[in-house]
Amino acid sequence: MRFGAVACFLSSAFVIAASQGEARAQSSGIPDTNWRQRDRTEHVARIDDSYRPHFALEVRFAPYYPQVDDAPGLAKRAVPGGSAPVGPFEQVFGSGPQFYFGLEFDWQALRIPWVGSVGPGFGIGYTNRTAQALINAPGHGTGGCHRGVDGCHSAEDTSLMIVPMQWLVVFRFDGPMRKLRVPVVPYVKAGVGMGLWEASSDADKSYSSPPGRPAEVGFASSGVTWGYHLAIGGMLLLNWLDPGSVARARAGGDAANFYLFGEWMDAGLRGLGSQNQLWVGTSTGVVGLAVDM
Amino acid sequence: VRGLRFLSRLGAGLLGVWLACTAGAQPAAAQTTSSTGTGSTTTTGCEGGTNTLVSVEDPTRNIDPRPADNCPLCISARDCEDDAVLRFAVTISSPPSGSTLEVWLGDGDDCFLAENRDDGLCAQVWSEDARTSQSVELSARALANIVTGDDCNDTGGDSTGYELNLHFLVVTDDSAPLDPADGCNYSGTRLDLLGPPPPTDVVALIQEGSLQLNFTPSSDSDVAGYDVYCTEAGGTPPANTGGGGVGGGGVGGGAGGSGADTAGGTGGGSGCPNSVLVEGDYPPTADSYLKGHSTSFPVVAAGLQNEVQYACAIAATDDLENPGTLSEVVCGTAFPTDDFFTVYQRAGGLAGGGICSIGADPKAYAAVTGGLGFTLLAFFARRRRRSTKRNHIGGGRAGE
Repeated sequence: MRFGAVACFLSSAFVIAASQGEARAQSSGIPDTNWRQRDRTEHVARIDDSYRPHFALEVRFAPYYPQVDDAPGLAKRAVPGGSAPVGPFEQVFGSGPQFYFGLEFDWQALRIPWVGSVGPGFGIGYTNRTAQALINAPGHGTGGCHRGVDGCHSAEDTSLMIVPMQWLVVFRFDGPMRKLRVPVVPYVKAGVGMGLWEASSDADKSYSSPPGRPAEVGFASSGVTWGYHLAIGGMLLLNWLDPGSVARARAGGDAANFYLFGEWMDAGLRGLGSQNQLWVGTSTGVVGLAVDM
Repeated sequence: VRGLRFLSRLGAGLLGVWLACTAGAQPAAAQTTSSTGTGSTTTTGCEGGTNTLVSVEDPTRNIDPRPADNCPLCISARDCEDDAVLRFAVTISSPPSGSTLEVWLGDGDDCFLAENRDDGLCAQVWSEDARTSQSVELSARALANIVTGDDCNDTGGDSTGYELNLHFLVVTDDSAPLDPADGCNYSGTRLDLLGPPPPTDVVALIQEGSLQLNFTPSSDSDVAGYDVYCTEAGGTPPANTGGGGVGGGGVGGGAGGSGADTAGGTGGGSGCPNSVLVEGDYPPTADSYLKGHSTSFPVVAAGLQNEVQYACAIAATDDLENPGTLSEVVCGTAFPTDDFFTVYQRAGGLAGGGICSIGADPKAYAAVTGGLGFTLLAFFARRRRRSTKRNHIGGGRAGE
């Protein structure tokens, strides 16, 4: 279901892009071999550096490794077949990555001539990890086991959902791209991050408050973790793939530049020093597509 | 403005594609529903002939009908045991003098022909002097007995059952062939006394207070769901009752038992000793053994005690809720489980408490406030600078 939704989204984006491109191609009607072209927007677009985008939209994908087990004070335990003791996250979910999908919207509010732009941005993402719950019965044998990290889990699903968000200041050094035709735009981002998280289970479990917290009936297995967010990366300009469409997109006021980007993201969602926070951040590489407009 | 326009177009496009996706999914579901078919609640009445004389409405039942998706006018094994009655409202426009209204059951044979009625290819199930308006009540048990020859037991049929072709005839002369206008053929009901064959390769997997039963689904097209039955393992195996028709005799009271894992679930062993469930037999009628139902794979047996060994088996059910015979009987034991948050708390984790738990952390407050403040300051600083610049230019022009 979740995969279907993502597929539907991607296909819809493709459909929209394709339909726009097709419509524009049909309306063009300019033979390639006719040097007396009436519509010279393509050529204008290639040399025009006066166009000033104000916003950027990013679609982001990444492998996500929640740093839950890196939090201090968590007891580690050896799992069968494992070489070293591991924390609670790895005991249940293993060490592999989970899929992260995100969107980011930046406002290129300030423009520094010959250098680039600076402005605030906001991003939101989603990642979810599901595995089978552990069996709490030492010596239960191997009968009835579902395959799991250590070879024998129950058949009950348990999952951890994380919705990372970030409020950023984004520096895009697009001056060289605009003035010198260098098709790469380096950028850095820094700001505050927040991760909403929720742990859930097939079984209707009830949790007790941890030590030091007020006693609660049905302690919620969810929370918010704050932290910092840093990223550094580069964007590869894709306008050369279809300069005609780019020029017409600019003329229509839709978009200015299209990019493929890669960045290193450090989402330090560790509670800003607080002890009672679930570390749901990650340090990972992100790839995606961006458009400014 | 450009950004908003772009986003609105993108949003509209996505919404359109989403609507197209969901709309595309709907007809498939509708087809699946309608394919369950025969005997829906629509008024089909009679078919065949010119049908100017007799009008027959869909029948009503004297016991609660099944849901609309479950062939409410069909006759199941339980309907037969409870002796359900199908009550048809029949209207005859101008019954000829001395004529009778007769209802004949034919298995695809044309009961308008006198020889088919005389040769026993058609069986008479009702006869009464024809009147303008009359009620015809047909006993489910009587219809079943005509078809199976053994009351409500169907030992030779398949799990899809039999179409019941009921001919409502206005007969004046028994020996004369009937004109198509003298009656009609009602085929809006079906007799199905057998459930589908059971699934295979059943395995019981551990859950807390329950067992998840995985299996290879029955390949029969008549399957609409699965029931799981469980009882505590152990005890004296019951005598095998043979399992009716498709069950084919059973395998002897689950006497195998060697594949049972006494500690957890099973890997699909050859049996699990118990005093109730027998592979190939029909499920027990007591509701206390029914531990779960699912229309899809897998099925969960709920309401079990942890660390107690159970014997469980699955029966497939059809759209008339006829249970088939039991699958192999497997052992399984539920155990307490630890989900991620339990493991986290046991490891000393202190997080949680809900999304309002930020209140416990003043540092987080400071960081958030700082970030937002920085953004707002940048925004207002830019606005002020622009405003100053505009005033300066405006003043200069005014001075010119």
